[in-house]
Amino acid sequence: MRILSIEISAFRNIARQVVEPGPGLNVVLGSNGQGKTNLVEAIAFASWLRSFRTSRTSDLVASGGEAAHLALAVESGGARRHLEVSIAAGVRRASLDGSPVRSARDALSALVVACLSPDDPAVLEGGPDGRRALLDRFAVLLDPPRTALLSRHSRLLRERNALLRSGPEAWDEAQMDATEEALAAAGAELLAVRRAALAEVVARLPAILAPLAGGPMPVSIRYASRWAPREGTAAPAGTAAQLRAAMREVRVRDSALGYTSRGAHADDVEFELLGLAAKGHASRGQRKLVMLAWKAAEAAALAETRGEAPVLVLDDALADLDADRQEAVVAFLHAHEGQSFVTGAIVPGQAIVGATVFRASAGAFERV
Amino acid sequence: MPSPGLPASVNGLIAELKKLPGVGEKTATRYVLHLLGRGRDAADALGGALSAVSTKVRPCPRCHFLADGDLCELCRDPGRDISVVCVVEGAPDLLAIEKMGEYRGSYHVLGGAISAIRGVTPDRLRIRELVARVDAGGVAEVIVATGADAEGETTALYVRKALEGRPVRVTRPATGIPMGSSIEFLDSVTLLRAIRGRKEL
Repeated sequence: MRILSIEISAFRNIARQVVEPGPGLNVVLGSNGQGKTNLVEAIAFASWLRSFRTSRTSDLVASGGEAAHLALAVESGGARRHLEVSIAAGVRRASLDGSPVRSARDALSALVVACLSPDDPAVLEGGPDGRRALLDRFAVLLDPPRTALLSRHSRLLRERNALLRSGPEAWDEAQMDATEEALAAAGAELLAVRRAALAEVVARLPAILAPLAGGPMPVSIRYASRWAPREGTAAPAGTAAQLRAAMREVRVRDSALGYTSRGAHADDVEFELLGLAAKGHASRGQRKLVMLAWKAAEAAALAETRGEAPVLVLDDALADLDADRQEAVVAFLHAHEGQSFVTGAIVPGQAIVGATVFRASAGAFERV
Repeated sequence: MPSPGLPASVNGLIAELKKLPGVGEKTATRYVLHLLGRGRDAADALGGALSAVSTKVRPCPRCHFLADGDLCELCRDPGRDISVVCVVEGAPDLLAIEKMGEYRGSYHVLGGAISAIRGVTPDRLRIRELVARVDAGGVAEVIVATGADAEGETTALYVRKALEGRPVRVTRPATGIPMGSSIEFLDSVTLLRAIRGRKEL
């Protein structure tokens, strides 16, 4: 899978540009604020139909412009696909080969982007929601129709919370039963999906991380759940029944809390580095390396399950790393099968050798 | 916003038309000007048809689909099997199933799906009426064809519970492998449902 060309109009600081990236490593160089990130953000947006930087779509439209527009020619599964996305008045519209695209899952059938944004390493330090989102996004990349499961699960959770807040006297007992049964079924499905997705990453990450770190770097990543049966001990139906019983047991207490205390929405992905919890112990550089290895593991897993390598986007990947680590990352990118993009203000000389290099300047990209 | 220069009555009609799905200011204005251009008869015919719908159409007392008089067209059709009842959320779902042309049973229109968020409680749907219909006898199977989304699933589970212990078969339409797709590239959620809902060859 690779992007043959991307035409960008009125997107952030990019007035109008046509960029034709190379098939392998693409390096986007430039000083701060020139539009490096905007270019890779546009690429990721075309795949995800949302930004890794903002949830306000209107931020993406160039100031003074009415509508932003992206048009990509993508080679995918041996075919040439045409993906178009426009953003106007906070609404995005997309089409694939001329047919309207309703959700990201359709866009993801043509263009899969595994993307490391500068904010990603911080999820190792933050709350569990960031780590769940990291895993869920990857689970969707592996199998795009899972977006339906994710939205059904979160909707059912909000349904139960709304009932809880109405109070034990007000809620219809049978409605609560039905809501919990549906939520437990979705939660059990989600648990299975997340564990399977995490296993794909865990199987590949240490081997990718070692050369980046310049030697073995013991890392342990574990799906942490306070309610779920141990992995491999229960079928989804049994897990659902167990979750349903757990929710039922704490119904009244949850009602006092005003939210659902048990379930897949409260799970976590725990990272341990060198035997210590990454949260509070890992350095900035270590977090960056682990997340780089995570994204590379995602890309490798996607290449295997979908039959072709995704586009790998690493925004500002080399910052916070020492010279040796930077060299190791560059070597990894050169060895990476498939198309990749890396941005940076300064990159080591060997990154440029054999790569397609663009220089960003005031929203324009010049191939050098 | 009302178009400046148009009489208030014309702007009033435009405002009403704009409330329809898929109709914006431009389309509504075009409809009204077209109607006015065709003369008084055309406007009267539309007005007559509208008022006939609002005065005559009532929910069918049996299935709660739209009816002109007493029972709806479907319930009056002697060729339909009233021992099978297909439960749907709304009239559009019923029409979709009818369009398929294969189903010859009867229906029960719930009038929505359960949602605490939107304030749709079970007693606001016609679930009690469904149970009464089953209790009245003559119903062998209830097909719960509510949506596969959060509200539809919750409603289906609620209906199953409401009918529990009654001598009636409660089924749910299969969700499975779309025609023409290969197993290899199927998403795991669909595959799991398809395997669970497998049937004899």
